[in-house]
Amino acid sequence: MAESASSGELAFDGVTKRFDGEAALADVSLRFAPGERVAVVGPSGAGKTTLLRLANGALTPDEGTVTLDGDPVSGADVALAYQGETLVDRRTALANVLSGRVGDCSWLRGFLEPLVPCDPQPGLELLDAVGLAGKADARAATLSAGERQRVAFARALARDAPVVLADEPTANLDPSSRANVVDVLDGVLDGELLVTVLHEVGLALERFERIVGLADGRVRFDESAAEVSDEMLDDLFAAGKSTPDTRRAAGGPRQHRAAKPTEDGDESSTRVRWYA
Amino acid sequence: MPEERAGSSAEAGLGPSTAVDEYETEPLASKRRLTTILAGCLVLLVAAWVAEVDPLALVSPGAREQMLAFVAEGLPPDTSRDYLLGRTLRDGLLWAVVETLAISVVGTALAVALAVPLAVTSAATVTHRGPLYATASPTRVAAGRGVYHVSRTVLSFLRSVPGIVWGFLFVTAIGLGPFAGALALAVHNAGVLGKLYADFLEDTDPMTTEAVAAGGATRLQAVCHGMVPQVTATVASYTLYRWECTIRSATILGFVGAGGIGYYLVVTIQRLQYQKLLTAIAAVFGLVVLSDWLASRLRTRLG
Repeated sequence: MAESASSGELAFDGVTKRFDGEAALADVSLRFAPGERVAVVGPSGAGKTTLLRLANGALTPDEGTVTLDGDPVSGADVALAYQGETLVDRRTALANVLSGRVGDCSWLRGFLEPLVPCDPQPGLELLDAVGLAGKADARAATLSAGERQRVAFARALARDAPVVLADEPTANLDPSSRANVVDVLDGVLDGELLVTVLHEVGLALERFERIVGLADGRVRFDESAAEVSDEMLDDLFAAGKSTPDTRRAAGGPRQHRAAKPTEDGDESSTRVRWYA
Repeated sequence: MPEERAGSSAEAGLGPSTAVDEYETEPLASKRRLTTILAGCLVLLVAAWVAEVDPLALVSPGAREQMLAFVAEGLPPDTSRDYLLGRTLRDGLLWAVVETLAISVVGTALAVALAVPLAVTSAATVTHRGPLYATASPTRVAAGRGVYHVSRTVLSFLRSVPGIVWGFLFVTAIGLGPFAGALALAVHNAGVLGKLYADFLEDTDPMTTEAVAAGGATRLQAVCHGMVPQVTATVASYTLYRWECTIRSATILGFVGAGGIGYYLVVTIQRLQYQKLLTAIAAVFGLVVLSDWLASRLRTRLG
């Protein structure tokens, strides 16, 4: 979709973001190279979505900077695929996709384009790319959770940005649809930097090259998928404010945290039950 | 199993058992509920005293006789052609019914036209709060907050003055007739609908709006494509409900000369023409039933 990823280095430098005085992200520094494929994992409340919202300019950091090729980020260069739930129910799939490129229209045209499009072709092509060409005129409310997620991808890709972010694209999907959604995302990308938040650690390890572990607003590890060990994941989820309930649901190749006994006997199995 | 879970969480050092906490807070919760109920009863008693509530007055011999006399004198209702159609069709009761309906339709349409811009400037999510202002400057947020407060005050004023008072004002300004009634309903209901619409806009899903804004939309475009479509169904439903209310309000606007069937109600009461009054009441009842049916049909189609 986008021009080849000769540019698109996304950098977080000492970024802190607070909500009501409480730090959602604390002193986070990360660098993502053009064309990389990164999964961000961690427990609920770790600051994963905040990281993405800072990256597309929806939020501004309280401290530190978020830059793309050295310039402050803007929504035009960094596309964030929000969850499928954020589609406008009463509008058609096509109208939802076209609302993603309102910024490319004139001010007046921006009010009309999603409803009476002058140029629906790019929207139709994007829907075709995510396998929903036949659903262009279907109201979002009538689509399945997986289809909604794919429309959300199409909406995010409508602006041809060199960086694509995805916020928990597999949330609310059944196990068979989760891998499919990642397949669709892979299919529509063309060398863009992809950073996605994923609940399913198994899927992240299987399908992404680099894994960033985030807990309590801090980067706990930043490794290639092959380097991520069970212990690192244990520490990550133990450090979180809350524990995930979908961690093992993806059924990925590595079943972490088997019920192995530890020094204090019962603790490990108790925590496994708690996770499950 | 619950026992096992409680035991294991205590062993795992996950803090005190939550079951114990719940048990301890239970009596507090029921005490609060009891206090609320008692406070409610107290308010009701004071209100009844202020409103001089006297149930015995309803069953006193005098009251009973008056009621029976009214019914006896009202029956049979006046269904004469002269009364229903008048001499020129436009001076009969049925025309007043049509006029009442017209006042309510025009009044509601004007109310919506006034309410929409006021609602947009009265919704905090549009003026200064939420995802559209996550990166806004403090000056911009302060200006938005100012607009919000002014606009909310205007809405409060519009709806705090009753429709019949607005009717009196407009009759004084533009003369007797149904247009004064339509304006009165429009202004009062703009206050009611504006507040409702604004509250709906404030209650929308912020992430849906943020997702649209992320596509490069301006704030107004994000409101148009992200926020408004989330509320259109509710807005339509409540507008229809308000239209039903305006029909009932329109029936009394005639009391101040602002057209409609209210004129017949007040004149027949003053002249003690109970047979004619009963016909007028039946006409109002028919109108309310008709509008109820029509509104529910429309609501189903909109749903």
